[in-house]
Amino acid sequence: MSEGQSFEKNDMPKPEAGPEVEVESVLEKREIESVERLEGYFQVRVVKLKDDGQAMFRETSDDSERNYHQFLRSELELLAAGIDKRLGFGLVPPVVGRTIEGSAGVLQERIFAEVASKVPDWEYLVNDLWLAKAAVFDYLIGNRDRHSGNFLIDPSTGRIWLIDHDYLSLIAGGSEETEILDKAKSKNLTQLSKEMKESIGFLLADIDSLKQGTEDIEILDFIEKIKTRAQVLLNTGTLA
Amino acid sequence: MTLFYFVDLYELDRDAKQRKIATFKMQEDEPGKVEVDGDHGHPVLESINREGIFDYKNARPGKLYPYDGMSFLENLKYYFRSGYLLATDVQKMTVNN
Repeated sequence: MSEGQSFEKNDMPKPEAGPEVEVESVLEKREIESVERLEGYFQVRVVKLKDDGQAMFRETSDDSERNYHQFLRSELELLAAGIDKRLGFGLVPPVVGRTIEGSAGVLQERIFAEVASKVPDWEYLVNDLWLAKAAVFDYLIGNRDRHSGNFLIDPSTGRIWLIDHDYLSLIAGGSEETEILDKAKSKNLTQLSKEMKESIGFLLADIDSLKQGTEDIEILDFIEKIKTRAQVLLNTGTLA
Repeated sequence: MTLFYFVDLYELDRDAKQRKIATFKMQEDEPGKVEVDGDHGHPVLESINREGIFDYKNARPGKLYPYDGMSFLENLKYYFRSGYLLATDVQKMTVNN
């Protein structure tokens, strides 16, 4: 299924189908113009790509003892993007693995939208279908740290992008905040449409491919839990 | 000599430059009082004051606000970690009286 295909009949917002592959290719191969290391506890760099915008780079760390909060950050961001892609939702900005200045990590398209915490009453400015998709996504991945600091919105189009899929939000448990899911429930966006169920079916059909190349028990367990939740959603047809 | 603990919070502008939104600082001998230097009308600061942040470090339920002192300061870096908004670790600064 091409991305967003299943939503076209009901005028669901299309998650920019074709260009996604191109964006990933640009992120993987495009010449780098400059790299800016940001001030902050978490190591993030902004990368300017020659003739093609900006991206956010996060280093991979395989040292869980010394660097617990960075651990698996890259793998989980790639995994979240892989799940989003199989669903065809277009919620997670395109992301690829890349080595920058000698450090391995993930490079993710920078989205020029507002962090939701800068937009009071954001829930009234987003499109209900984007909110419903984001709620399903967060339910599936069991996100335990979705607050207004880690998703972006474009008030002019009502679109949502989800960021910060890492150890704190997906494995360890962060804030136990589920702001998107809660807002979707408060707006009564809990019933899954036929198209939404179809998307979940596409995810289930291909989710095991996400296990390839990893032997990490926590990641394998994380994927199994997604399968269970997906099956629950298909059986019940509701997020309620 | 007075010891302060502080955390800087940055936002990212369109040109990939960071702009400091605020400095949250606490005097060592006033542990329950975090002062905020910055534009108090900035929506992120209003959001922090209204909604609070979470206690990632101790995984405790409930929210933390500036009046929670060091616990609040220590958790800013976990709450704001995307790069779009990014907080520093707790830093120290000594000021001559």
